[in-house]
Amino acid sequence: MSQASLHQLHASPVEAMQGEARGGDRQILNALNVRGLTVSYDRKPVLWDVAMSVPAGARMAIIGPNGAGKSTLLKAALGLIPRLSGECTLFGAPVAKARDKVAYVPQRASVDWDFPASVLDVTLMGLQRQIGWLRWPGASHRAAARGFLDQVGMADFADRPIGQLSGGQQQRVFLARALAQQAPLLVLDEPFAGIDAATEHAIIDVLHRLSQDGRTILAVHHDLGTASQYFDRALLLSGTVIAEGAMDQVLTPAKLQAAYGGRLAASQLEAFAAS
Amino acid sequence: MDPGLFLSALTLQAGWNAAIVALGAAALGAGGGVVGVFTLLRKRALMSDAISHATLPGVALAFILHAVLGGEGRSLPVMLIGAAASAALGVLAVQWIARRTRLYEDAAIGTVLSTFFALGVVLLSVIQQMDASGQAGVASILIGSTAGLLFNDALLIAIGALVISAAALLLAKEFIASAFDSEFAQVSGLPVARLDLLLLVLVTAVVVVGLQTVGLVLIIALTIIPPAAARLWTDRALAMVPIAAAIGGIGAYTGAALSASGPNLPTGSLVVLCLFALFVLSVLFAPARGVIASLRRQWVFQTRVHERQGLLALARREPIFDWRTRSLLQRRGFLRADGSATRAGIVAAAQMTQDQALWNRFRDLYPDEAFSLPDWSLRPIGDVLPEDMVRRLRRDLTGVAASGGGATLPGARS
Repeated sequence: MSQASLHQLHASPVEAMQGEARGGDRQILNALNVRGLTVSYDRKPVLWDVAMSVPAGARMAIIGPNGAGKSTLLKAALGLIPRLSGECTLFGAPVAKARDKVAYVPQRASVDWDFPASVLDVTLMGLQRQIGWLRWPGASHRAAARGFLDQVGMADFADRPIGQLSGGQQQRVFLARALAQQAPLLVLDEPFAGIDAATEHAIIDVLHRLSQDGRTILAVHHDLGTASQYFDRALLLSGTVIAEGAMDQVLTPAKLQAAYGGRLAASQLEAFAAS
Repeated sequence: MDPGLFLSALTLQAGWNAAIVALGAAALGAGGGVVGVFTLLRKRALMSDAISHATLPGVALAFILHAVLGGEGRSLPVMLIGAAASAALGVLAVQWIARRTRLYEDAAIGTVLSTFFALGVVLLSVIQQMDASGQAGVASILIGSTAGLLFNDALLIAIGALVISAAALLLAKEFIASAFDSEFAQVSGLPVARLDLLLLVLVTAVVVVGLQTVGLVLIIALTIIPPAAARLWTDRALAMVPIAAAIGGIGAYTGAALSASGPNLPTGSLVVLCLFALFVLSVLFAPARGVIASLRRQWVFQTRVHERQGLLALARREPIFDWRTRSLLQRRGFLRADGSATRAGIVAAAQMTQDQALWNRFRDLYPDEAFSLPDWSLRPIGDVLPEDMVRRLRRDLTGVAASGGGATLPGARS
C-alpha cells in the first residue's frame, strides 16, 4: 500500500472533508481532533487508543475517575508529553504547527508559587506571541494584560507577588494568562479544583462569555454534579473512551458505572437516572 | 596579607596587571551572577557543579596533547577548549543517565562529577611526571590563581564574561517564562528544550572562562551564591538579574584584590569568602526576605493582632488587661488612661467589628481559602480579597441578618 493511500485510510473525517473541499453539506471543522492516541508511562499504558473530537464552539468536559488519564490526554493532545501512537490536529493542522490556536490553563499545583514574579508578570507570559522573541513587553502589552486581569476580577492585584495569592486567586491569574493568548480553543486542566465558590462563578462567567464569542472550551472536570450545568458535551474516560457526545447521552448510570466501577455511590448514580 | 597593598589593589593602584585581573574577575563574577539567576530559577543550580568538575580531564588532556605535540608551556586557549569539550561530555552523560535510567538528576550529577573529577586527578598525576613546563599552571585550576595570569588572559576572561551576560540578558524573558511554567511556555510557542540546552551552554561558558581565576572546585559559587542572595532582595525575577550581577561583580572584584595583596593567596577561595560575606549581609538586611525585615514584619503583625483584638474587646465593652494592647490603643488615641474608650475608639471599634464579621463569614463559607490566606482577619478585608467577593459577603451577611441566619451561597462548603 502506498504512503498516500495509507494516509487517506487514517485521515480523520475533517481532513477527508478538507481534501474534497467542494460545496455540498459542509461539516463544521473540529477544534481538536484526536485519533488512535496511546500514551504510556514506563510500558504501562495510561491511555489506550483514544479518539476524541471537539467540535468548534463546543463546551466540552473530560470526565472520569482518578487515574483515568484525563490530564494525560490534554497534555498528549497538546504535544507536552510524548505519545506512543496516534495523531492530534488543531483546527485541521498538526498541533506543533498550530500552537497559536490554543490557550492553556494547567493545574494550579503544577508550578512553584514561590517563584519571584508579580501577577502582571505571569499574565504577560500569555502575550509571548504578541511581544515576540528577544523583546520586552511595552506599555500596550501591560495595558492589555491589565485588561485580562480585570476580566477575572484581579486588576487590583496586578503588582502583588504571586506568592501572596490564595488558591482561587492563583486560578484566576492562570485564566487571565490563558485569556491573553487569545486563542480560539481554551484548554483547562481541573480549573475548579480546590477553589472558592466566588472564583468558580467568576471562571464560569468568563467561560460563558468566551463561548458566546464562538470560542471552543475543553476542560478536565471532576464534579459530576455541575458537569451538565457548565458544559454541553462530554468525553467519559477511563484509560479508554467509555462514551463521547452530548452531555445527557454520556452521563447515564450505565456508562458512569462502566467508567467508575464501584467508586461511585449508588445515590449518585440514581441522581443521574432520575434526571 | 598587606592591608596597604589590598587597598591599592582595591582602588586599582597596584599596577596595571593587578587592575586588569581585578576587573576581569569583576566581569566574571557579574556574568556568573546573571547566568546563575536563570539556572537557580529553573532549579538546576547543581548542574554547574557537574559541569565544573567535568572540565578537569579535558584540561589535563589538552595540556598533555599540547606538550606531546611540541607546544611551549601551557596555553590558556588550548586548555579552555579542552575544558569545554569535556564539560559538554559531562552534561551529555548526566542527561543520558537521567533519561535512560530511572534515577533523578541529582544522582546522575553526583555520579558524573565525581567520576570525571577522579579521572582528571589521575591525568594531573601523569602531568606531574612529565617533563613539561607550566605544570604548576595546570594544578592551579583546581583552586584558582591570578598569579600567572597575563594581560591577554584577563582580557579574554572579561570579554567572555560580557558576551555570556549579553546572551543571557537577551533571552531573559524566555528563560524566566520557561523556568516558571515550562509546559505553558511550550504551548505558547517557546522551544523549552532548546532554551534549557542553551542555558547549560552558557553555564559551561562561565565555568570555562572562570576556571583559571576561581578554580573548578569553587566556581559553582559564582553561579549560586549571587542569585541566591539576590532572591532575598526582591520578588521579581528580572530584578534578580542586576542584583546578582552586582553581588557577583563586587564579591569577585574584592576577592581578586585581596589575593593580589600578598603572595600565594588562593584567589578562588577569597572570591567565594567575599561572596559569602555579601550573602550574609543579604540574609540579614535584605528587605524582601531578610531576617531583620521579617522580624520587623513579625512586629507589625503582632501590632495588628493587638490592635484588632483590642478594638473588638472595646466594642464588646470588655476590659483590656494586656499591657501591650492597652498602650497601643492609648497611643492610637482609642483608649483613655482610665481604660474607657474615646469617641474615635468607639468609631474604630465599630468598623473593626464590621470587618471581623465579614472575615468570619468568609471563613465559614470557605474554610480552605481562609486557611491558606496569610492575611485572614489581619487587614481590612477589602485590601485582601477581590471586590466581588467582599460585595458577595456583605450581601450574604445582610441576608443572614434579615432571615435570622441559615442563608448560604450556592456551592459553598459548610
